[in-house]
Amino acid sequence: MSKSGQGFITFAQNTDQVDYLRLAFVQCMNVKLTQHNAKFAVIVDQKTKNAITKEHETIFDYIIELPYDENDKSSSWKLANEYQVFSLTPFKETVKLESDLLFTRSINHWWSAFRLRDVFLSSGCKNYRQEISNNRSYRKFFDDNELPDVYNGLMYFRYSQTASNFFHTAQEIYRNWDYIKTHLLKNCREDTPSTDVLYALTAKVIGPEQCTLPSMNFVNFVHMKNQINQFGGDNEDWTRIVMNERDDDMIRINNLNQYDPVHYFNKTYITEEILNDYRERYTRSKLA
Amino acid sequence: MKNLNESVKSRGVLLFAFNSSQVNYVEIANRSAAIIKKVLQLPVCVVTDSQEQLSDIYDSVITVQSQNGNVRFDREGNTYEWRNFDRFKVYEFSPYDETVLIDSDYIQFDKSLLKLFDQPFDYRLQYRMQTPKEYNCDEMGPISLPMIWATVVLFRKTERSKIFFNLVGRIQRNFGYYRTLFGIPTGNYRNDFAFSIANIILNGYAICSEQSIPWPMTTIEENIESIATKGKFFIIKYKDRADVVSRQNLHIMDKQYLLSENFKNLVNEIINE
Repeated sequence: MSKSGQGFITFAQNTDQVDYLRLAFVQCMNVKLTQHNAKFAVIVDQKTKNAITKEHETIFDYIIELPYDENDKSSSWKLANEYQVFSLTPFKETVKLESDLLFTRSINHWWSAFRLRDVFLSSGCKNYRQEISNNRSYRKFFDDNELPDVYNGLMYFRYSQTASNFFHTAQEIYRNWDYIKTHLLKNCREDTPSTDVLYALTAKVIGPEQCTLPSMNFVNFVHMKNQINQFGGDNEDWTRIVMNERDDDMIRINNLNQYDPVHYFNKTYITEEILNDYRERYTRSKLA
Repeated sequence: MKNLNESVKSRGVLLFAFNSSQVNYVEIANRSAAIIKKVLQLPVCVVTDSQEQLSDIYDSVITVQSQNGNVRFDREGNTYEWRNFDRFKVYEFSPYDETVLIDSDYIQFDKSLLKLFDQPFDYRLQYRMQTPKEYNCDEMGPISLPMIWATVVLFRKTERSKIFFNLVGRIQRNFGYYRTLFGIPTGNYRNDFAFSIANIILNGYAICSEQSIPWPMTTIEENIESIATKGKFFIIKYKDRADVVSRQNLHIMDKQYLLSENFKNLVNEIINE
């Protein structure tokens, strides 16, 4: 696929539990409402492609089917295709997002920071108070293995040799995971690597200096996992612990406006009400 | 001809003094005002519901109707009547362009607050508190937001200050709603909560340090036997130990101490220095 311009991309591979296409659909409208002239692409597997509607076709700029699906069909863990984003993206410069992340304002000024690297992984994450989180509850494995503290909720890459190396390395690590987890990693209990682990390990192999820039800590997002926000254990859904409300694209959590992108994490956050609000506002913006 | 000189702004201190059935707050205010006059050298206005026992030290007295009582609890769990409502009315009560609103138990032993008036601001609030032993970072509840202390507030009569105090008033009147919204477990109204909530809302639903008094307020939480001066230090004696702190403003929670002979003597010592 020939590549041009810049844009946002996400994967939507539906599972029995989660309609990722729905999340990607809301994210696409969110990106178009908050980011000036943004293009949005979604990568889908065969099963998810069957769920595409006319409305989806109108709103997504690109709907890209995976040419070969490496996921285990019986598993709800759909990360085997991640590395294909490099070859599938229609953009020369791509911001890859996890589909459960929403912007609350424009990040146009981030592009200048992104362009300092061919691959830019965000380092650390924030809590809802907009503080860089120092909670390591979810990162013990990273600390044990001295992996860079990268988060895959939002990453940038340019169509380049470095990015090609990065995704190729990620693919090799994924394919050789059984050996790597047994012989090279400490305390690894992941049968399949999460994307955060996969990309952290990739960053470690190719060199963190090639793909991170921790001093640019404004390139970041709010992660709504409970312990990052000091909401206690993971048993209760954060939306039941603190109030949250929306004011167009602004998301207010526990009475604080969120100025960084919000990785809402809990997939039930996207209610019919939120979906319809985006539909309405997106339609209105097109008419304006 | 138009006078282009900027008019001199009036500046003063405002105290609230509402006696409760257990504590003679008017007498505490009298003593606090005497130190303010000596140290800050500013006029003092008092808002009270009782002119009895009021000393003649005040430059202006604003008499208001008696308030309904609230309750507060001390460290031992004792309950006290607490008449803390309507603090938000300070904006309309204050006769000054620039006002230092302080609780009468925040004793002004130094001039540090006055330095803040060299800076541009609409209002300044006390974000942090410390005891001689530790630095405290209080929250309004286990899953809430940081609490600021309404013990001391500096404000200028500006549109933003007016909005701020009006908002505090709205929060007081609808405290049940706001405490639920902000995850505050206690149902007892506190000005600290209302001021904290108003500040977050007025900052655009954000925690913002811009309005902060930049240093922590030193608070003595324990019951005090005596305070003595020694050069640039205070020796604060409790029942079974003592603290030595540099001479500075002290927020003294022990109201009985503030009414004691020892404190009366300390006030006299300070004003005769």
